Amino acid sequence: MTRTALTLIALLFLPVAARAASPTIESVFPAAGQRGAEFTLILTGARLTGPEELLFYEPGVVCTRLAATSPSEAKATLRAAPDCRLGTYAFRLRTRGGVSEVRTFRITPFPVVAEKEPNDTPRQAQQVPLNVSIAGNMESGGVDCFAVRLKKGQRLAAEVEAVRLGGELTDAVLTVFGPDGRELGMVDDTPLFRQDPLLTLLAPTDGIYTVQVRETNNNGSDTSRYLLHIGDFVRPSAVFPPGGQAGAEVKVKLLGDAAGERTQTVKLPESADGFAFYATDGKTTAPTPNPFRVSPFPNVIETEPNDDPSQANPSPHGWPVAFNGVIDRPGDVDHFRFRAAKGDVIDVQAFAARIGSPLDTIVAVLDPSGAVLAANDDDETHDSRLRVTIAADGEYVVRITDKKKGGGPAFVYRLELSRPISGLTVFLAAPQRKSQDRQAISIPRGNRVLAYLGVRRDGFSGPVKLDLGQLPAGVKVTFGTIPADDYLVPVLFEAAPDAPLGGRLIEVNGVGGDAPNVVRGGFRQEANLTPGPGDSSFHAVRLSRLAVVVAEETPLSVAVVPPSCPFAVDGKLDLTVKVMRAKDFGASVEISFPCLPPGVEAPTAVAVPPEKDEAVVTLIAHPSAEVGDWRLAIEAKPGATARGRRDPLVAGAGNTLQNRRRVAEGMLPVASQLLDVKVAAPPLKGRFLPLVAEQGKTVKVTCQLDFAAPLSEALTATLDGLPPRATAKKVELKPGAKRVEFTIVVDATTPPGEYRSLVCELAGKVEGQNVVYRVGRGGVLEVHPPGAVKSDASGKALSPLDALRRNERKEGMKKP
Amino acid sequence: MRFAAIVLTVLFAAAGRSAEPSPVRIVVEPDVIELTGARDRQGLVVQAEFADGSTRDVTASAEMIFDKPVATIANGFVAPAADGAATLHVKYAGHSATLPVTVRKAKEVEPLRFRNDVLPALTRAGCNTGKCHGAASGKDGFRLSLFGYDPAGDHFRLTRELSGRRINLAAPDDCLLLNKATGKVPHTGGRRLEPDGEGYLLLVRWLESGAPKDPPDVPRPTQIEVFPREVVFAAKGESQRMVVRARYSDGSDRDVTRFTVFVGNNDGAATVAEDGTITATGAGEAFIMARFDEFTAGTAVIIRPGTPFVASPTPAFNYVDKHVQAKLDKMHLVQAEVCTDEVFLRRAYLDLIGLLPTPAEREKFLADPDPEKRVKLVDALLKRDEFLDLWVMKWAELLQIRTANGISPKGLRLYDRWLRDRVRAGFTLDRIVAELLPAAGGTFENPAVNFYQTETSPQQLAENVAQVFLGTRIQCAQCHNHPFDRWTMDDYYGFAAFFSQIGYKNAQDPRELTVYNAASGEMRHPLGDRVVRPRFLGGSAPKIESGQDYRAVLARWLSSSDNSRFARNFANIAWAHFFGRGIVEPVDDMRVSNPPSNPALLAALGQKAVEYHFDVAKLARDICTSRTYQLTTRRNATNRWDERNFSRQSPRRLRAEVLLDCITQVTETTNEFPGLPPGSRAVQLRDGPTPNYFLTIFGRSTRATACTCEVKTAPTLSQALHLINGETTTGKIAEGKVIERLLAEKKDAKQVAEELYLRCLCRKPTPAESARIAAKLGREPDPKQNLEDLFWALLNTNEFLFNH
Repeated sequence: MTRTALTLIALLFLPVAARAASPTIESVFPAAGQRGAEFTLILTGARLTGPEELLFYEPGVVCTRLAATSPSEAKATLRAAPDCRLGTYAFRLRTRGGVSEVRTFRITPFPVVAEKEPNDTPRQAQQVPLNVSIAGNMESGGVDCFAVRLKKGQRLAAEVEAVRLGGELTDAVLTVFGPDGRELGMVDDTPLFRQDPLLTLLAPTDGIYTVQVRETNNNGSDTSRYLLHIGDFVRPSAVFPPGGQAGAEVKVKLLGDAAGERTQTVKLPESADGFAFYATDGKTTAPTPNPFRVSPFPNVIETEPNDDPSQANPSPHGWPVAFNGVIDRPGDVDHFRFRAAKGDVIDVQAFAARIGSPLDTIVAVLDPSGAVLAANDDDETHDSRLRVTIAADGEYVVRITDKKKGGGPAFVYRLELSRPISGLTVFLAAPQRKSQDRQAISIPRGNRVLAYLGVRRDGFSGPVKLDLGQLPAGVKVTFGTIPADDYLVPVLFEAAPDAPLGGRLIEVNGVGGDAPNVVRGGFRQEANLTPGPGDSSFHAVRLSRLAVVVAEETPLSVAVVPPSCPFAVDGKLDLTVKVMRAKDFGASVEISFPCLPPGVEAPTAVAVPPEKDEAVVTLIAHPSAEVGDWRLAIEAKPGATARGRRDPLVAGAGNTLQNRRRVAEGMLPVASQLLDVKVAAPPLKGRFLPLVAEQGKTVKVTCQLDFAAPLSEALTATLDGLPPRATAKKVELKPGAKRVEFTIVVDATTPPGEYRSLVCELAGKVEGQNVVYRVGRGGVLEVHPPGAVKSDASGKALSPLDALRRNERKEGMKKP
Repeated sequence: MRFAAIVLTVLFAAAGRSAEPSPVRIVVEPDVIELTGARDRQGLVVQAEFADGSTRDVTASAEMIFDKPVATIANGFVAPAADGAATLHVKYAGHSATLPVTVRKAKEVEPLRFRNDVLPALTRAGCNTGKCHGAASGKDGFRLSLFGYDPAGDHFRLTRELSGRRINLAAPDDCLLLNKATGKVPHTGGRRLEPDGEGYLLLVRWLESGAPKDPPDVPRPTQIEVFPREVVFAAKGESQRMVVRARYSDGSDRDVTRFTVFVGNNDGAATVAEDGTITATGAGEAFIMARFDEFTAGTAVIIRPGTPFVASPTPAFNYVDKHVQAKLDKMHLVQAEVCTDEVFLRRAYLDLIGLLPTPAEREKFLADPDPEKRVKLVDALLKRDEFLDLWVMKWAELLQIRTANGISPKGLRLYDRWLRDRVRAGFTLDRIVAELLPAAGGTFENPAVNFYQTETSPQQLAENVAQVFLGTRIQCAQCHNHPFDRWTMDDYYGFAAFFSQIGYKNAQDPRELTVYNAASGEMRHPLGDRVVRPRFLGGSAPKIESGQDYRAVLARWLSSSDNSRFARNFANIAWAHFFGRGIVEPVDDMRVSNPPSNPALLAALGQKAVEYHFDVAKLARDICTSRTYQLTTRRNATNRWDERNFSRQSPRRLRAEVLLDCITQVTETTNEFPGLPPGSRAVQLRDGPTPNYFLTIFGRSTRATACTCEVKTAPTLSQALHLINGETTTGKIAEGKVIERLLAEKKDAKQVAEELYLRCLCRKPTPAESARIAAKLGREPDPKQNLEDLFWALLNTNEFLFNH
């Protein structure tokens, strides 16, 4: 490609990317920086031009410089405060066009060293000092080797963070070779960090040791990134007890470190928020924390033997309490005893898999007689959780064992017995599970976007009121209370035409329950950073604020013409949708109906071709539609069919198909106003008189009409629900008509039988609005073989008895 | 006239016999006769055995006398006359035998039973075979259980399913059942019963008695015996009658010959008539199977070629040869010669390590003057890692290690590594089984549990375990009793019950699956839905504690040194690797009707396998150092027709992986396989269906089933075309640049040609070949093209493609 062509494409991009089209970040490299240092992240992805800021979810790191080097790459210079928290930091990139998905980087205590190729073999190993974090990348089939010098007896600790960095799954294997080239240890997965390996060993001799990182299936690629911490730091693979009481001082045993077991005393904070347990041996500290629970109630530590309920370890504190123990050998069963009173409701929750233990718990609560009151294997995680209601005062026993009958010194667990807590969580509904698609609000200036906020209620019911924190300037939001029988509410975000470009991570709070049991809760979002097969996730971060940004204008907006009459139950209504396109936007537009009253159905998507700016869509209100006041909104986005032919954002563009797709994919769907609509009973009712017909004959059927209000417009009546091959012509209905009569032509081949499906469809314009009412639903038509129907002079069918009587009378008359 | 014919036959027979030696002994079977009831009778077989080991049926000409008149004898059948005990004296050609005869209830006629009288008659008439009413959906609206595995159901269908239609108790001999069977009314199956034949009369009598249901305590057959147990015909044309006796749960027995279905497995050697008369049709071996009720038993028949035979003893290198020789003598076969060192070297390399000897290795071996050098070579090859790779591949095929059923690439890699590590660490098959079967945990944390992800249904698992570790196919018995083997549905579901308590759950890693002992859930029998307790296949029902892992109990039994079937199967697999066919063939189809070609050899190898703790290397050493393994593939006059007695080696096409490795080896190239380090050999592949065109067309196992038949070595057109035109030969010759390198080493074209012969065929060109090569090379100045053509031609020879 010539340079001119490249320039041309670049030029074509610039105006495009400035339009509302959210950026996307595929990778962050190196996804790490040292505490107290300045470092640069390279963000690669699409639509990165016009970067405005990084939105951080917590303080400690600031962005000092941000610039795009191309539409697919941006550089951010960050500075980490000397006292900032270690670990994962989540951020979003805001550009003029919108906001990206969540990505993360790690703050490490060690200097960050870049990996240098070639280092595929121990001989090519990259020399590194101890206590560094190496930012590396396993290229295709690649193996990376690093060399460190150790003295005899010195501890070597290595830990890989790969899955914890997010991005495509990188399943690393860590191997250490001694100075003689012998393998000293190999770790693939660990219970503590799942796919991320860690190991420690004591150097048997002085010399150069090789630490090798490779992908488990030798399938590394350009996106197989990792952070390797190498040093002589303490690195326990388990701690015991794995939790303690808030505010208390706890003696914690560090297990699984090559330098041996040791005890660390830790003073726990009053609140669990933000606490992380970093193992230390006085001289060194582990670069990443071990999971540790801080709970409001005291600890009980297991003492063996307690394999039998009769040997159960007692709780001197009654409950709430936290029992801590180890399933220390295969087949071990542990029992704890606690006193409970009649009426107590106890949440029993195990922490094992969640805190990096290999134990797969099965927990049971036994009543004083030894009978199992309740048992559980798994709850939402692999840890057990169950709730028991105590029927009588007494000593109860809780039992824990391993599902797979395994056991060992690392099989630590914590069993928390606590009171059920009511809770409330607000979330942003995701169109796809475990995807970050539409998990941020990006509003084009002068336009609207629609989102659904949802609420999860724990231990209470009733409506929930939402409260959105401070929004970016120029943004208005419309939403209602979440009703008791629903968990979702449509929320319309609107940016003024002159709203400044900007964004915030806002608080969203919900209030529910009745006084005095008012339940409050905040926003929660799980951002999936490493998708797994199906609906699974290898790594996600939990966020507590919602991103709302104002972006550049989009060349498309949409509005609904408010219907002049309500949706009639069991009827249809034509809705007029107006599409406003900017001058340079000449594409087909696809409109959809994300927000409709219950029981009202619309087509999945309607295309508005480039030459039209209006669409009339027929919405169907089913007989089950709920009468009441509802809200309706529609969304519009560039039509799928438009992409292949012509780019919606670039008039007459000659760019490549791939680029066109990307732009169209990034363009945000916009919403109409949130319209108040009514669903009401139709203004009239209908009733069919029973009807009997013969094959091959014509019959008349009458539908009696009963108006709630007089009808001033003429309507066209259609008979629907006829049996096969029976037909009836439309009938014009004059204003004021009390009944409608159809002539049904029953075909000779219409199958005999009883058809309870007749319905009279009345179509016309009411108050200038196209409507359809379906009345008389369930009208009955009986079809009989020829000659089987007896009718009176008026054509009315006779019952078999009447027919017989009449026949007798006739015969009697004939008698002389 | 008829009388005259009989006289003539007798005369001829007598004339023929007079020229022959008299027998060394006679055998009368069965050796005890017990008759109960007026209808009972028992057939006898009198077999004369001659000095050369051959046998003859002399039942018709033996003299039989009772010392008391409790029974009569006619046509070889003993029938009751009066209650009491007596002795039967049988005399023939100067030999005599006696057998006790007991008669009870001689005047009593026992009522006919559906299960023991009617059903056998129907089975014998073929009514309930798979192609008739025994088909899963029956035939023409009438269904019977296949070979009568469900007597209660059959009784219901005959008498109640269509009331008043199939049978007519008012006029028993005029009902649809009999009219159809005798062809009086149109019947798709034709005439199955002769009016007034025994089967017909049985049915009529039973109908006359009201077609009653069997009382619950009706005796059930418990086993059948077939007489004679062994037949050695001296030549074709001879015949032998068979007698089948069934034993019942009440201790009684019955001659059921006339209700038994006889099937032969080699009509070219012997055929069997409906009445159980075996007729020798040609030299060879046949197995005559007798099926009655749920039982299958049989008689092994040897038919000697009938030509003069002088035993020519060959030295036995070890116990293997003794057993092979014994069988060959019986068959009147002469073993082939021992092969040359060159042939042995190539054969041993290919069989033991799946690679060709290099010219240097060949040189060294040929130059070694040690008379024990073949043994030394075998020992050396057994120590090489490639030997273990080959056996890892074989076990991996049997365990079906492949990405299927959601097994992730990581799970597969770990599974493969698990097996490889164990084999390398010296784990023998019994220890692998002991670890594999009771495995629990995640597929990553304990890769052995991948076995339970590959297949998840208890039935399929049971079938695979039976086939892989016991060489027994029990699939048939899932739906009906096995028609050619001893397995019943009870056996099948009892065995499958060992896998009925496997629990599955998702693991933390979405790619992983956790398998555990659920300690609940039972196997149910499809007939009656009753719970079936675990029962060893062909063994007892173990006592299992509550909560104990059924699979662990099974693993202990399976791999126990007392389990001779496990040992024999192991030995058979090992043997088949070195001969291209098992002592039981197919290797994983050991059944009553497919007996081993040399039971003594198989037993001996099985015993050794136990002694060696299932160490395949030790068994391989015995096999490879035996004379039998070292025979040439050339046929001699006597063993021309023999394919199953190991009277010579047989040429075997190299299996796909070995062939590709050999081509790669001689062309000095490498292969890239997905997920394996560069330079890996095809035998080291982890995943059965790893995409590779060469391996696919040469019939490698995709490991889709546990069947040994997955590995195919049959030739196909695409194989030939690929070798001639495909990338593998020409591509690798060009890629490896062997000829360029050899020429660069200042070797002349003739030397290079010789080197190519040594590499590919492990021999020098014959003078005739040398002459033709020289002529071709002499014509052109640049030898490279011609040498490449020669290389290509060598890779296309059968001599290269086959182990011989």
